[in-house]
Amino acid sequence: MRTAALPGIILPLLLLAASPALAHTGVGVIGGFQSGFQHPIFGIDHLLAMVAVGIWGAQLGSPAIWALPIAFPLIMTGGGLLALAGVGLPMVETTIAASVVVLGALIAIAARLPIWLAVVVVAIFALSHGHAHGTELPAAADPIAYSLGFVVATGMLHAIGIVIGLLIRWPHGALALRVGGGAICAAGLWLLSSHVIA
Amino acid sequence: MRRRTVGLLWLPAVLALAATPARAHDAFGNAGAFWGGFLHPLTALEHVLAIVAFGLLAGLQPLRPAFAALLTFALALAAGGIAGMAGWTLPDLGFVTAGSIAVIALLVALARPLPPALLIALALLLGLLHGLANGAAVPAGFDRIAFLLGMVAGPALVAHLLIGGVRRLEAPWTRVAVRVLGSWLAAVGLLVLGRFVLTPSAIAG
Repeated sequence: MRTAALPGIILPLLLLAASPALAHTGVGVIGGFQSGFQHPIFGIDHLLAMVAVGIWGAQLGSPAIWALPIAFPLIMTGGGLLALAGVGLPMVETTIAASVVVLGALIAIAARLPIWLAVVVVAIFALSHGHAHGTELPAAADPIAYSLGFVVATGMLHAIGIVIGLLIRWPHGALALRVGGGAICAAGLWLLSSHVIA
Repeated sequence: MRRRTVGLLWLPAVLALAATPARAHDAFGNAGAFWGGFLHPLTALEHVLAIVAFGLLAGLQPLRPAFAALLTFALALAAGGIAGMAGWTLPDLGFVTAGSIAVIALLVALARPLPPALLIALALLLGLLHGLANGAAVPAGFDRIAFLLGMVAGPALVAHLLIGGVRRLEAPWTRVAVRVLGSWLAAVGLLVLGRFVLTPSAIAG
C-alpha cells in the first residue's frame, strides 16, 4: 500500500521531463535528449555490458544490487570528465568488448567476488562507457538534455538487467541466468574479435 | 484508507501542473502574468532538475527541517525574484546551476541525514539563484507582483509535491530508487559542470 506513492514520484518526474521538450519548439532539448538516449541503446556492446551489470548485481544480491545502480552513474561520470579534459583512455572500445566477455563469464559461473573486486570490474567498464560518451558531449546541441538522455538510458538498462536478474529467486531461473551469461560472453567474444582483427 | 485518498488527491494536481507548460508556452503572453511566472522556471531543464533534486533531498530529511527548507526556498525565490526585477543580474551562471544540481543530487545519492542548517543554506542559495534568474526574465508589460507570485508558487509546489511523495515511501527498494534518481541527476550535473570547466572552447562556439 505504501509503495503506491512511488508512481506518485515517478509520474511528476516523467511529466516534468516531458513538458520542456514540448514547450521549446526548437530541436535543442528534444534532439539533445534523443541523441544521448540512443547512444547506449544502439551500441550493442554498451547495451550488453549494461544489462550484464544489472544481472550480475542481482545475482550477487545485497549490497551489490542497490550499490551498483547508485555508484555506476557517478563512476561513469568520472570517465566522461576525463574525456572532457582531453585525457585519452587506451582502447576504449576494446575494453568495452572485453567487459562484455568478462561480465558474461562472471554471470555464467555465478561468481561471488568480494564487493570491492566487483566494484573494480564494473568501474573499468563504467569509466570506458562514460569516456566514450563524454567525447561526444561538447558537440551536443543541448548538453544538459544529452547528459540526461545518456544517464537515463544507462540507468534503464541497469534496471532491465536487475529485473531479469530477479529470476534468481527460482531454481530454474538461476540456471537460465547462467545460460544467459554464457550467451553474453559468447557475444562479447565475437565483438572482441572484430576489434582485434580490424 | 485515508492515506490512499491523500495519495489519489495529489495525482490530478500534478497532472494538471505538468500538462500546462506544453500548451501554455506558445501563448506565454496570453497565459497571464501569474502563469507566466509559474511556468517560466518549469520550462527550462536545468531549473527543473535542480528543483527536483532539492525536493528529493528535502523529502529524505525529517519533517521539520524539510518544512523549514521548503519555506526558506520559497522566501529566497521571492527575494531573488524582487532583486532580479530590480535589475540585479548575475553573469551567465550555467556552471553554478550545473554545480548546484551536482551537489544537491550527490547528497540525495548518499542519503545521509543532513544537519538542518546545511539543508536550509542549500535551500537559500538555490532559491536566490533561481529567483534572480527568473525575476530578471519578467517580460515587459507583465504584472510584476502576479509574475513574482507565480514564479514562487511553481517551483515551491513541485518541491512540495516531491517532499510529500518521498516522505511517504517506506519499502526499502523505493528508498533505493530515490537514491538512484539522485545519482542520475548528480551524473548529469557533473557532466554539464565538467563541460563548462574543462572544455570552455566548446561553449563559445
